[in-house]
Amino acid sequence: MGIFDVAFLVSAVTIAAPILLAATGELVSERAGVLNVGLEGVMLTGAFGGYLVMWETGSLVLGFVGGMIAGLLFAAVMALLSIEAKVDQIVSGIALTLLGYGLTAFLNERFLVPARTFDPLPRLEIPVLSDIPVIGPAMFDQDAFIYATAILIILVAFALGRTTWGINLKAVGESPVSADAAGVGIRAMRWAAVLFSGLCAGAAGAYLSIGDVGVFREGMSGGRGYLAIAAVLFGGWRLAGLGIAATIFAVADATQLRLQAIGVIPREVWVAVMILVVLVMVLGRMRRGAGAARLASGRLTGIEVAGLASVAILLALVIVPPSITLPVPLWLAMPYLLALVALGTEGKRRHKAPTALAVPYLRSEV
Amino acid sequence: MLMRQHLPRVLVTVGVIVIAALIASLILLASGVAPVDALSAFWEGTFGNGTNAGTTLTQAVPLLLVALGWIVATRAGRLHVGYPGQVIAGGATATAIGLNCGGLPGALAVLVTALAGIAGGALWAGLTAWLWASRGVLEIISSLLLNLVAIQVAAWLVRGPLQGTASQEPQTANFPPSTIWPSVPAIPGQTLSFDVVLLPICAVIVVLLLSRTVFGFGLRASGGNGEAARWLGIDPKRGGVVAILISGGFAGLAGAALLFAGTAPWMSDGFEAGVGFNGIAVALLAGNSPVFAILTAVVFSALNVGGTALQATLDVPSSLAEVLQGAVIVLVLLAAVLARRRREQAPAPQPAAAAKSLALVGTEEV
Repeated sequence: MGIFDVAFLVSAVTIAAPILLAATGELVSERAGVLNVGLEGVMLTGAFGGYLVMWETGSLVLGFVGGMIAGLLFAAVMALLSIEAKVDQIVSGIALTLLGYGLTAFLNERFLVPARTFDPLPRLEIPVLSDIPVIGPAMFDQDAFIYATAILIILVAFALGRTTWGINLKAVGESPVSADAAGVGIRAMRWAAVLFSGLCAGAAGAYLSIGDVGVFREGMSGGRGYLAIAAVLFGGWRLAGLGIAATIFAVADATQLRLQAIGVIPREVWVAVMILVVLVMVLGRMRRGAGAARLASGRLTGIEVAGLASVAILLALVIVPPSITLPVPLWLAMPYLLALVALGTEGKRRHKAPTALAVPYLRSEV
Repeated sequence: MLMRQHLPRVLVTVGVIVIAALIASLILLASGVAPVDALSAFWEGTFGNGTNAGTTLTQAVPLLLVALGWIVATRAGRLHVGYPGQVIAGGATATAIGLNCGGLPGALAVLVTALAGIAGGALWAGLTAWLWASRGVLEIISSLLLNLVAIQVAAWLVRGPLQGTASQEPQTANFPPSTIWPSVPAIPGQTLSFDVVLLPICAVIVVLLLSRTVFGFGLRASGGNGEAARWLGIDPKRGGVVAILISGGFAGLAGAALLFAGTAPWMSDGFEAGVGFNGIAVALLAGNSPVFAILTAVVFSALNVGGTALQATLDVPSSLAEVLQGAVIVLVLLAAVLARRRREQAPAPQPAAAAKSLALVGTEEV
């Protein structure tokens, strides 16, 4: 298996979980029509809040609660600005991000001076399931946060798809006027959604600081909040798409972590990328295929030509693996580049964004 | 007439600054520093003598340039936040070209570095523009991700292709003396660069461009109402792309100014130093007025310079400045809403205008 071994899967799951949790919160908030661009700031505050409480009390559970409360408070500012004050959501998101960066850096530098490192979350082995080869250690020998994330996502999927509350929430994001006329409280719904996203992002941030690393560093969320927003867009505002996007980002991130240590890119990376490109092209074709005249004529789209060309190049690389070493910073840029490529090739959306996304609701519109 | 028009805006800005000063005093008191001491140290560090005043004014230039970029882009309805990345791209391009321009005469070399900065920033912004116009990717997400990529690319450049041979530090070789932007010789320490003339010139250019030219009208039409713009024969997509490119050019010029009119004659990977996001804050504090932004740019620059001085003299973390900058944006947003509420209460309400509050930051008159 070379570099793609069980330890690789474990690290990919650890990277994916906080992004997935933050993205789930963002998804709920966006389905209700509030685009929270300040997610990065909320995550960072969560990371700091968790560390702060842990620094004071030494309790992991209280630390996570602290992170969630910090996220909740920041999300409340976002809700106040976007729902009550009806400020442009992108601008208020930028404000939150800046405030989060500055506030956490200042407080950390000023008040938590002897930095303390804590033990990360303990792993909990699930008895029978963790004995499954490969999947067992990756999925069922993880910490409590990852199990909680999995359960929460299932709950959110159920709530969004099967409950009146979820349907009302989506209605608020699609057509607040109709939802209002049907007696759904727009403000309450949006407040609930934004606060929920704050809870999720706060917990995800706390996982970054006290759950995974055990210490807080300035700006430690390192763009994961942005990746979470990108995952929501790429995932087409569906939970399944969100899972795919988070998986892609996490695998890219885990690969880059591994390759930094190895240096020369081994052959199996080229094979894996090639398989991925082919898979994406085939899936894309099948998706678009149904009833499209273009498929019948067998003509290739521009993207597919580009895809075929890259497959050919990758094949050449597999046969003759060159000794390419990429400097560390370029590896670090890889997940973001991949997110950009993913968003760019996704192109014209299959799924529409919620119609009222980022549009404040004014009752006088009715 | 003019006075009455601008009075509310001035009041808002003064009010915000007073509240921010109160917040700062509270934070200072909480961390055990007398606000009076802090104020005198702050004044001494920013305008107390010619050298420091020169630094403050010179550092206001990149902030204003970014702010002007934001004003142009928002007027065309494109709220992208790729300024940090474009500042880095512009600075890096200017560095790459400037390092090879040692033979050119001074004036020409300065012009070449400035143009290289503009080109680099506009190219980096071009990625965002392309992704938005032809691939339908939200410009805010792509620009956020491109910021993260640019940070890593800059880190790689100063450790790889552009690293100076003289030292092992991650920084480039010293710029050739002829490419350094000239500074006023009378000021001790030569801290006042001649590029402060860009403050009024660029602001006036943007005012005239937006309010007095057909081109500027096209931009504002594309930002205001896409449907109406189409009826006028204006392609809102083209307007958006051009606006993003112009804003990238401004940010790139800011990057060149940071390096070639800065304190150190080389490029290191942290040279951007938050200018990209703070420039947005400068524009917001000025209510998106280019002329007023000169003043707010100086205020923000003073916050940065003064924050460093406070750290040096009173050991207050310089991230206090970032906290205040974040707080200032939130306060400005709230103040804008309060002002609008009052305006709506006084005369007959304008539901149509109110409903378009998404364009709040974009539609104010020049």
